[in-house]
Amino acid sequence: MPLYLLGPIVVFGILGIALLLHVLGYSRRLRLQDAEQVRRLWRAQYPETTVEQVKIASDGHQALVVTDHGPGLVWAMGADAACRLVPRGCEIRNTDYGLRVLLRDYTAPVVKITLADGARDQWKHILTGGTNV
Amino acid sequence: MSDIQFPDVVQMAVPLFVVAILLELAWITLKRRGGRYETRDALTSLAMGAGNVIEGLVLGFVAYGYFTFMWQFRLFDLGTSVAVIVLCFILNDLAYYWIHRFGHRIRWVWAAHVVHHSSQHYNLTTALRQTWTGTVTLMMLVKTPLILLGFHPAMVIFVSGLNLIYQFWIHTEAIDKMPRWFEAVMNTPSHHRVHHGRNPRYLDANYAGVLIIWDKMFGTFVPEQETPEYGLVFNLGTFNPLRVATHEWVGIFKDVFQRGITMGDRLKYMFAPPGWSHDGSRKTADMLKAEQTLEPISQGGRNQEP
Repeated sequence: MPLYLLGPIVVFGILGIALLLHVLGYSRRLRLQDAEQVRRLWRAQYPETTVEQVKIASDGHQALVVTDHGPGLVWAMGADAACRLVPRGCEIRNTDYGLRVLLRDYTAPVVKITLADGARDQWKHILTGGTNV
Repeated sequence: MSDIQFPDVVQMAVPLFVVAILLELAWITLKRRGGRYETRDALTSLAMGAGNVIEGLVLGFVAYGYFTFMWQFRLFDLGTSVAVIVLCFILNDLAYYWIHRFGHRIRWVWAAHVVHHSSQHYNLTTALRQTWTGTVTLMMLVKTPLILLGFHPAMVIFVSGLNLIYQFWIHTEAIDKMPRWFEAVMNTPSHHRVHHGRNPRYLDANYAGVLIIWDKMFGTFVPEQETPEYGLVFNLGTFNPLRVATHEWVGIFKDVFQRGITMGDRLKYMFAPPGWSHDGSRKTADMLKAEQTLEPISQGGRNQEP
């Protein structure tokens, strides 16, 4: 197939499918409902750790977990989730929406967390090694 | 070399891929079953597919050049009859089985193939989530015997394209099981769902391209029993196509150039099974299976039909 045909089919095919998916409502992000759901997602990724406490962000798209291996984050990846232990010394920035955590992980570089002002300080405290959710 | 030409069937099939995705999407939306779609996941898969086509246009000459070079050392010239094309298709499928198996058992090859398993969804867009770095793995070497036996390089590339097209339709949850005779011989959506499952019992199983008989012959067949959970043992936290394409290569680089390990360790970080680590801090598929009290398939584990 000549490139002048293949190119537009690929480009418009991708854009068309993406637009259609969005219009049909397939862009909805996972909303974390409760601590048990967070624990289940966490266990699937880190079965060797024990989750001690869970706190879900106000918009339900991220959760903070305290484990026997340190603090961790669970966050929506589209309709699914990703989980990471938060390494010591990672960069945590205050933003107007809450926190921006730079994990220094090529496979999961940034987590954006929506938090009110009060919760932001509490989460930051936990993420930097403090206790008590 | 004689001027033998075959059509580029993969490029010709691109419109078919688009139509089939739309049909699957319509089915899932109307029936509310048969799979899941998510916009960014699908967009990433499609971007990876487009990148794979571009890689083929840019680096396709490497494999073709190698095959053409080897053609001068052929033992026979088998010609281009239909029977020879069919035989080439079958033997190429056998070569694909081993390339695919190496892709899961050798980290250097897994670094390219991991892309295809990086979605937590399983739909027709997942089929198009292909590597941008396949040429780097040099897996075209595995097809050398085909060229030396006298299958023309253009024919080998043609049947490889047909193999890839066959595998497109099996990336779906919309089809449960095919007729029994078909499931016995051919790779099907059910068999390939197992291959994409991250459930421990499903790891490193069902490597087939078209014919599932290879898995049954070489002891890697696992039937679909429990519902598969899709994705990687350690799922990605990004949709960025560049990170999806390169993350395992970056991982290899970091591991190989870390301080305080032996040269043997560095080689194992490149060529041992994914998950190997010098200090035992990570887990290979065999370790994960062992934890689930399943023996590794290669050691005669639960890999046969009940």
